Amino acid sequence: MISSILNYKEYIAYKASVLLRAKTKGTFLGNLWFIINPAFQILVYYFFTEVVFKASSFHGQSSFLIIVVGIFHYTFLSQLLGEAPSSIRSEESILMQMPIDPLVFVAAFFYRVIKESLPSFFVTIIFYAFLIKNIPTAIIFYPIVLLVFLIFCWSLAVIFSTLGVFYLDTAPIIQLLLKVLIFLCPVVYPLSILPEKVQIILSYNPLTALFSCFQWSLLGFPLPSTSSLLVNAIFILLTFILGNYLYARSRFEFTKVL
Amino acid sequence: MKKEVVISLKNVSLRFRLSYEKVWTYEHKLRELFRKWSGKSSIKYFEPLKGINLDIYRGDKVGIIGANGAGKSTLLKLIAGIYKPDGGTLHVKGSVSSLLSIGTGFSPELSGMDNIRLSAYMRKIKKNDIEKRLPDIVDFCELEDFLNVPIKYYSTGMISRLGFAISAAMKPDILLIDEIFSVGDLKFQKKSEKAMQSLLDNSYCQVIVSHDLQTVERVCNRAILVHQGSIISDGPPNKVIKDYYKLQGHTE
Repeated sequence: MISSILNYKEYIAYKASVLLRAKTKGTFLGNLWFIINPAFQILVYYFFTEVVFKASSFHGQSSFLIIVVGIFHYTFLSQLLGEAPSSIRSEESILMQMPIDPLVFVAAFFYRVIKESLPSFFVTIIFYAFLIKNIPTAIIFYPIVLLVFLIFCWSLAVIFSTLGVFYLDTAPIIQLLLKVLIFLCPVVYPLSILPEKVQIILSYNPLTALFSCFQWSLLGFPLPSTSSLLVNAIFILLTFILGNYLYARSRFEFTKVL
Repeated sequence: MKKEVVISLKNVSLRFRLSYEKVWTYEHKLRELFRKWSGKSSIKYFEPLKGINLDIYRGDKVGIIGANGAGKSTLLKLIAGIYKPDGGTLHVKGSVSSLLSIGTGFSPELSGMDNIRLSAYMRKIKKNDIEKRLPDIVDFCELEDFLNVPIKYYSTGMISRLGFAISAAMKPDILLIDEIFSVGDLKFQKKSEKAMQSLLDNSYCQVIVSHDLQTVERVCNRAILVHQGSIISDGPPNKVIKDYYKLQGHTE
């Protein structure tokens, strides 16, 4: 699988670039839209949290900053999962005439979403730098948390891309889950505001653990318990293995179904 | 001297689930699981190819003929690696390029130039190589003025020319062709026929699916007749074509 991706790395990079370019081609502001959109979204959150609701602070950080940090990662996740079911299916015409490993299309799509999120990332960093009261020392672990998050996202993308070929219900089910997931994970709030029992239940969801780790490394919130981290690390590893297994088992059936 | 086998199929079979029985939704899947559990599964399969034994040697130009739905294109797609056999073994030695349909993998929102580069990268051609071949491709398709325009604005003829120009720039060891020998208007047809001839001359093995029996007789040194998913005749084109006529119930 890795060799397939490496063999097609130029295709993956080029496809991601041209698709992004095509998105804003012909618009007056061009690539600036990739900056304007997230910046505007953040300003809307500012208006609601700080001006309308005057939301309180948690662990010394403003609600607005918690939302800014959470929403950036969640937007990436939701865009990735939302589009994953069609990432192989939409390349049907190529698959039916060339013996290309379909995982290449998942990789191209994954890389495109990463590239598309980079301007949001920089906008988030700017807001973060202005709003953070005291930068936690755990920030040095942020790249590791981000890497684990990306590995988990990749595994989910492989699973949903594969399922999306066989089952058309995959896309609407994911859309439904994403609507709930934003509240089931500590994206816009710290886990500590929930009742203790609920916290324990939610802490065994890998996304809860990952979002709590983002809050720990970027905002200085408490780190999830060791047992929760361990269980979720195993879960993330199993998801990765399941994604690879599911894909390897069904990839040669794709052209028969499409 | 023993000839080198470049494509080998041993007792190959391929099985499809009938399209109207395919599981498209989780609800269907659950219903089918229940039927399977109660021993009343309604899934039906058909075998477009069964028990195929075929060795193709270096230097062979093989024409595959047969009636519509006989399994010719499916056999070509199997050799191309698009389908994996459900039974038997398939070995292909060398790089394969397939001309199965022209221009269908293009992204309509992207320009002609972007699609040329993408198609080339998809065929694992390196960046430097693409840049070297680009002037020839541009020159061949005669679409210089439109290469920066998204191909959704192209006519069907323009898309065919672009697709053919890209395919003609490849240098495969094994060439698989499904009915495509030329595209475009009369002038471009002549040009594309010439390019196709050069493509045929430069590859060491070709497998061609065609209903044009004259082309098969002219281009190929060997033909095979596929009928209901099996090879029923294999040999010199004139003999196989006679068998085909007999099968169809006509005389030449």
